[in-house]
Amino acid sequence: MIFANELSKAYTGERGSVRVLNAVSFEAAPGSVFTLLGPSGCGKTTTLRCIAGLEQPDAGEIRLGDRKVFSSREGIQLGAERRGLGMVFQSYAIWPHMTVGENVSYPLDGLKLGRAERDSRVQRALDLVGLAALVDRPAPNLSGGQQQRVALARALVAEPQILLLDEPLSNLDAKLRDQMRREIKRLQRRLGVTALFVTHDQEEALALSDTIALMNNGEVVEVGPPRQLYDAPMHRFTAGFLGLANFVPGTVVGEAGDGVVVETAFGRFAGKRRSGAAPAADLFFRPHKASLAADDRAGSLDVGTGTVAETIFLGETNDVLVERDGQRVRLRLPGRLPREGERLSFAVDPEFSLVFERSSAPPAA
Amino acid sequence: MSDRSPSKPRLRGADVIRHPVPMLAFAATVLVLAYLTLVPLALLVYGSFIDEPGRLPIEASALSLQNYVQVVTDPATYRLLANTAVFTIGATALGIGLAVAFAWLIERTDIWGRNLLLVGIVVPMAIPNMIYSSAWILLLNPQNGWINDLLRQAGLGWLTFNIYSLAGMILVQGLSLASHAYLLVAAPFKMLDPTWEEQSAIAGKGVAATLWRVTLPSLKPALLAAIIFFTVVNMETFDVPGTIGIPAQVNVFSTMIYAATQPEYSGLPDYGLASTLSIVLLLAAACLIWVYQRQTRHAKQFVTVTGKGFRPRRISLGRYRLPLTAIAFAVVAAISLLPVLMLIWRSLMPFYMAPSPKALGLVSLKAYVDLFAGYDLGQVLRNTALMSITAGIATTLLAALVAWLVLRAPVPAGWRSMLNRLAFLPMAIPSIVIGLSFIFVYLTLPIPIYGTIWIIAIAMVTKYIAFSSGMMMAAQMQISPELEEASRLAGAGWGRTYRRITFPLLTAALVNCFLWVVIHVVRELAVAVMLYSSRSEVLSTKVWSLWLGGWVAQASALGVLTILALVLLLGLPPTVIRLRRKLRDLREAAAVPAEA
Repeated sequence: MIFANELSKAYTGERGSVRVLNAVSFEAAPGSVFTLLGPSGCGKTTTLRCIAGLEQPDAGEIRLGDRKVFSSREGIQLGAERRGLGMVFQSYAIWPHMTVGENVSYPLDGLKLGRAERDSRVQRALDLVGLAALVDRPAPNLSGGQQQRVALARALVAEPQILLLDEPLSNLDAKLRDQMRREIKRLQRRLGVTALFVTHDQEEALALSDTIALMNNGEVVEVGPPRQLYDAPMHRFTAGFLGLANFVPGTVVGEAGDGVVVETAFGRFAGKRRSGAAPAADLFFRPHKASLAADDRAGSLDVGTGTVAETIFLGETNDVLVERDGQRVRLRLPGRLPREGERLSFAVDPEFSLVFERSSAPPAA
Repeated sequence: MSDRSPSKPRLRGADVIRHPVPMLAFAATVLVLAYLTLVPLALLVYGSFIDEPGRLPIEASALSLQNYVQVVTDPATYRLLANTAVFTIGATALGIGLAVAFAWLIERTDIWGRNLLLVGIVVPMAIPNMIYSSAWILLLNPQNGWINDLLRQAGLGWLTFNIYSLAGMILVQGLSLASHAYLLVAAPFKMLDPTWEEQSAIAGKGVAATLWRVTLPSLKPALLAAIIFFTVVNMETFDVPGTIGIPAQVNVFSTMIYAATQPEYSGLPDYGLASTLSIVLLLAAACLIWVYQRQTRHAKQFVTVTGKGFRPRRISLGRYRLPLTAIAFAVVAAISLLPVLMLIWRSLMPFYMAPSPKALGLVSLKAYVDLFAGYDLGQVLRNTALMSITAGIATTLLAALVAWLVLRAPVPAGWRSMLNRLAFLPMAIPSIVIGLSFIFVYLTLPIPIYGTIWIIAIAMVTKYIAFSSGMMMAAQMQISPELEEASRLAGAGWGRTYRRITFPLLTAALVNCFLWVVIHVVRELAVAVMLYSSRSEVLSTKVWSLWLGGWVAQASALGVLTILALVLLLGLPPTVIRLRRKLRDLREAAAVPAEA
């Protein structure tokens, strides 16, 4: 288990002090994949480095399992080498002056193992990642994917209970990334380690995680399982960061079931209310939660009408921008490619529509 | 506990693990650097307030401002200033001018024989300046300098040149500087984006206009940095002024400081006056170094290496190709070939004979035999080897430590930049001043190494720690911090991480730095000449004393041997690199079967 409580950290530079972590708290369940997700500069890597012991927070507390490794209150800061963690770095950090075997056996140095035991553990770790044949290969002669596997084997060889992964897939090409993603998940399940994973790639986070903590500006915005964060975000930032999103300005005009009805330029839509009671609101829905509607449904609840402004053929689906009164929404509509200038009605699934308080700030990503 | 506010970190000292190993290393390094630089400087400043000739600062009875009064009021000081200024500016202009001309010709144009020219221009790197000066004296002295003789025989007596003059000093220093400056100047020429020049050509500008309006202006920051740097070098140099200027009675600051400490020139050694002159020189150097540091910060913004391996298109010299090639080879021959050949010739002659077929009959190796038989060369070689290797190892290790502490140590950034500045400080201390201040230190402190090679070795560490730290920092920066962090995550503490990861990855840089220091230590005369005794003669001081004693053939012979040794040392780094590559290839070849 990883437990972080109220971690704060500020860097003091020439232009005053910059707050990089602001009371960051979370708890990663044992045996799960817990992901810190956010745009660059959000503090996710700093958080990971604090957990690793490579950086020291100004305040807060970190517990790994039942061990307290950092506490500003009690003045505890355990060095990185004493935390018993495995870590895969963004650059893999494979030592170029050693062979694959020497790289992987390095974490066993402090454990005072017999030679046979040591060799067999190195062998097992390399077997896990399918590189047993390369044990004597000098590290510089490895491909990117092989380096990644060696880094993984090295992180796991001492059988840590916690594995830290700092953007481990960002340096791989798309195909390899997909393959490694599955492999990491399979390994993690098999070994039952708790994995703390840092990424800026939302797709990767959705695919790998049991739980995601979305971070922004040094704070944790929202924590939850991927499905919940994607389909039913509590915060506007989450809605905007994960996947494509429409935010349509409108006014709350009534209630419908457990939600509210919002009047927009395109029509009236029902959705669950997220925050605030002000009538000025934004309707949120994802482009693929809309579908073509018959023209005679125009004007009814959850149906919008507008003019097709731009279309892009994407193969499996079409990307369609619909305009009305200077507002635009983006729709993902499979099937027939609408003509530009055509009048078009679309229905939005109210199950996945949300109503957020109007915000002046544009949504991220 | 209740006063804990979230904005202010509150870690109770005693309970926190505060990285004891790096902290200890940091404290030790600061102490060592302070001992190497601040202690000598402090004694130097103290010494400058003592006006009791023949006495060391420690033996003095009263402080006085007399030295400063004398320096300020004596008209000789202003003559000294004028000489130093003319010498410095002249030699810098000549050296940088030659370097820029050759850098442009070799790196940017289609001149013939580029590789040969390159070798020729860098040869003087292997020639200590004192030896280089001697060779030029043999060529250009007014009595029987070979070139002057030839001119007189050709009826061109009015063209003869007296090397024993300010102009002679400038000539020799400038020529020798050209090779050092070339290495600094060539890199930006090589890295310059050729499309800038091509753009100018497309805009209808010729070769000369492009050079003047595009190439040189875009290199201005780098050139300015080189100019300032070599101005400092020339201002403090001792070798050429010592060899040519002292007999010519043309003094500059460095020779004046030297003379003030030598009884044969001034009766009693006047350490106070020497200290005061040193401080004047040091302040001037410090100002220029400060400007240099500011300048190099900017220089990086201009000429940048792009990751792309572009192949610079060379400028076609057209009909000037042949004449420019001829001129370039003539100049290179004058810079490198002529002095070395003269030195070899002189070392083979029992007494001076102009090179001629007739004189060939007199050729003998007597001078070389003398060196080993009569002058205890074995002792000198042992001293030189021991001193330079010790200084090389000590400087390199200290520099590696400084580099790691400045770039990676888990201590506040303010401390690290303080350490950086402390390590850079010796850059501003002239060699002759290091020598002088070390006399004070080891005649004051109860450490019995005065008059041994160890005092020279320690002074050399002070002399070269700034350059070496810079070199090692560049190397340390190449090592991704993640490589060290991965080791710590793998359970290794600071010490084991440094030993198993950082240090092995620095191997190539350590070897290079070590060889660089050894080469420079062997070349260095000014530091050694202030500190040597009859027991602790090294190569540079031995050539110096043989030359001064009138043993010209023997001095020439030892000069030739020194040059040979330095050529071998200079050739070593490329050899080491080749060897390492070969070893790696072997290892890879051995690993291939595992792939199947």
